[in-house]
Amino acid sequence: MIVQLWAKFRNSLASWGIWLVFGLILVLPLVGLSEHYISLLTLSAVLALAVLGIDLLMGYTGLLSLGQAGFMAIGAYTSAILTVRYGVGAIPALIAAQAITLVTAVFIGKAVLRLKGYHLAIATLAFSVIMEQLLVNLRNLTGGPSGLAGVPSLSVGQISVTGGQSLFYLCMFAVMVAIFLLKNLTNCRVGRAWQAIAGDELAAATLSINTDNFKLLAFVISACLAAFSGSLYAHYMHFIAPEMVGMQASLNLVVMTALGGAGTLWGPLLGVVLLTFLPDFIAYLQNFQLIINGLVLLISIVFFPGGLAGLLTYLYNMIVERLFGRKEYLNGGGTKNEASSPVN
Amino acid sequence: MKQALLSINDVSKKFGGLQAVDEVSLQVQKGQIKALVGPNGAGKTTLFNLITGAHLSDQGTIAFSGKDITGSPPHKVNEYGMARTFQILRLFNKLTALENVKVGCHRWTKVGLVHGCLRTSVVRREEKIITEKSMECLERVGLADSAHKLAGNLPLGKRKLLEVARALASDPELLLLDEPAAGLNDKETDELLHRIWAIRDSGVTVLIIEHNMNLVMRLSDEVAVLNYGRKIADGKPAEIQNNPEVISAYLGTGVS
Repeated sequence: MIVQLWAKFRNSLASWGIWLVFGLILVLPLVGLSEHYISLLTLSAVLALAVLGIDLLMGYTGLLSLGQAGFMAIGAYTSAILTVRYGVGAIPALIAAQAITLVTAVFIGKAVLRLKGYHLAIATLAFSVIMEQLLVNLRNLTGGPSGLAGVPSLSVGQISVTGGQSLFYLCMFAVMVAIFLLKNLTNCRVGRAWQAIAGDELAAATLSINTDNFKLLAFVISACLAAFSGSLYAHYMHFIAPEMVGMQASLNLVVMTALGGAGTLWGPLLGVVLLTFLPDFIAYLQNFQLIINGLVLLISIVFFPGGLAGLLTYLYNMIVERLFGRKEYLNGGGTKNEASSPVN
Repeated sequence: MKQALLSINDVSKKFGGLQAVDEVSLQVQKGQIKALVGPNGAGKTTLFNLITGAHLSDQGTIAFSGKDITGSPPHKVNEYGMARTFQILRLFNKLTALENVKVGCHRWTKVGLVHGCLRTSVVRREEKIITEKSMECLERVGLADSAHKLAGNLPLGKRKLLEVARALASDPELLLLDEPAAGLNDKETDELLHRIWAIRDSGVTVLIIEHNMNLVMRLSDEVAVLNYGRKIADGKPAEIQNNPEVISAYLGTGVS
């Protein structure tokens, strides 16, 4: 009886747990979290959008792209240039950024998605490098290496999202919507097609899956999320410079995804939060920051290749095993519904 | 003569200097079990790859239910109604057995981006049908109790059956099996025989590559023999057994 109740609770926890955590985070500003940490959480939410896109590409479809910051750059600079130089409203600028990204991603995707594995990674990395160089050299439009300052706050009609708290809620809302949509999408026919392509492309093709189209779809969705993240980034920072959305940023996003645990949607979010907060916590170790970042990544790859998500799932299973004295694997080994069968 | 379900005419394929398939013609009639046999390297799997679009043929035509499908890519070939298994297994190892079979349902399901994102009632209804159909396919090959295990963790015999279930989920008219009995013991082979008969009886035509002659003779209605890329015999199992050219291909010719 207790076991059955527990099994029910566990299943609903798996689907509702993530919303529970979001709920807790949303309450934080109300119980007096400092401006500084709210700001860091906002930054995490902004980057989370790009990272979710990478998870879709890397974790679900099995395509490694090192060019996501290139699309972030398109989003950030389109928003910044249109609002600063032409006085366009933030929302029309954001929509324009999405449209430009859509077209660019279709062209780039068609060109590079015929490549596989590391070849794809290098081709997309090249895209990121080209974007960064363009931003540095198109001085009249982008402001060159010194960047573009004075990006206004986000505003919808008359309502301006100026305060730290309102921007925080807006970004959190955007992430929650993205998670909701991606969760649905990855749990239906489309998501299965992506996972099939990651598993074995030829086998997927012999089961009616048009692999070219599905790969392009994942690539374009991922690019649009990155551009959306970029637009918000520019409004959040009120400033944008090439190196903020350059090659290094591309690598960072992939590291966040891998560290969190690709292919889970919630894992990469942990990766973002960890790598956004870590530099703040160890700020007094300034000179060692990069070393510590590297160490965290190294330890993750060697000791828990499933990322933070894999580690947490493992710990969770271990605790359940201790409590109920039996083995239960969420992924693999035994059957998934073992827990629902009553024991005497 | 009635029109064949699958009709291959003078198909050839060359890999570098190797003539893997050499002007092979082959007919598969609707409702029969046809076996494709031949020594290792005879070009059987290459012929499968040509039929299913994994490779492009150098010459010749392939027609399926009267429609010319020469040069169609693999996903089109499956849409037309052909499903296959692989000699070297190509399962989605990180997905469960059930999820593997669900992927097979892609051919006749419709949900796209918009419905998928919003998880509308259309999606929920379709997912229910997919789950039912997938469980039914798993039961047909006797894997229902392994539904929630990861495909990569199943033993070889079950993995081979899982590929059959996955192919069946796409509701094919023609099922191409590439050495389904290789690596199976006698008991499993016997079970497989009955399962293939049951699949045929449900209205699916079967083209099977197999080395196990005992199985081929009991199972099939017609047998075609390939050797060095050429077809050397085609007919009823009993005729094939006594064909001197087939015997020499398998056992070698005498010195005298």
